[in-house]
Amino acid sequence: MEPEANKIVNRILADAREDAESIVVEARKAAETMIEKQKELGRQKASERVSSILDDAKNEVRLIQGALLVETKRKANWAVLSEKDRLISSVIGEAKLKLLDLAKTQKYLPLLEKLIVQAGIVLGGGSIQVALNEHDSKLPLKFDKLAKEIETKTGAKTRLELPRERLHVSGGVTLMTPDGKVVVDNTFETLLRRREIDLKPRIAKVLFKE
Amino acid sequence: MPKALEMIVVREGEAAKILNAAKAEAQRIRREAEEKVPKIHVEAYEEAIGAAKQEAAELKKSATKRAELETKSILQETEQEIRNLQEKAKSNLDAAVKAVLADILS
Repeated sequence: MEPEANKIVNRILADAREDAESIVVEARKAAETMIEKQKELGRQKASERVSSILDDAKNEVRLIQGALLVETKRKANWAVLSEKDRLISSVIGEAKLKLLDLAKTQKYLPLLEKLIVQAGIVLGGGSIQVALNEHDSKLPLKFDKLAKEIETKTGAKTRLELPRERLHVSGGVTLMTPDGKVVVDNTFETLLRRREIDLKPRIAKVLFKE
Repeated sequence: MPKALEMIVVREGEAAKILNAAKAEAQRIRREAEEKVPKIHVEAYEEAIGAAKQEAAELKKSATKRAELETKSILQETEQEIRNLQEKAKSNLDAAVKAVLADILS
């Protein structure tokens, strides 16, 4: 065979192999493109759900942080207020003990007399029952002198009497009209209870100052 | 037929076989890819969802941790505040009791 003819014959096979290779390579590229496209389509299809999942998580995070912090701050405030209240109550408790101690001292008699006169003035004088506890009923109270003081302040003739019944209180006095309709309670327990609400802010001011 | 022509005919036959085989291979590749398409689509979808769920879980975990740290800090501050109150109350107890007695007995 002529060399030129041999060249042509060989070329036919070489071209065919080249074309075949190209066909396969193109097919592979097309397949890869198709698969990539499907992956992208899958991701796109998921994107709405992905956004929803992430948005839900962010909302949940805000709720977790918000709720936890609000609850913690509420508990913290409550703990501080509760402790303040406990400390203030302990002052009132201590004051009660001091009043009990006071009832055993010489300072008590003039104080009791003062409470009787104050209550007598509030009642406007007249015939008044002076109720005391067992201990105080034995104190040398000068009812005549006290009645005079009340008379001076009220202008009403006054008579003080000790009833048979005794009070079960730590100290102080309760004055009342003979029919028991008008009562002025100046016992320590009532004085403290009556003043407690007003006293608390004042106690706090003194107790927690620097 | 001259020998050269005869060889060309033979080679063209071989070339046609090579090309047909390549076309068949290309078709197989395309068919296999087409068969994979639904699975690939679902996998890509699920992978994206899975990644989002993981990211969401990490977000929640780190947020919870941050909130717990902040909570711990608030509670520590509160404990300190309470200790300060107790110290002040201890120092000022007598003055407060005196103030109460002065008010009650005045």
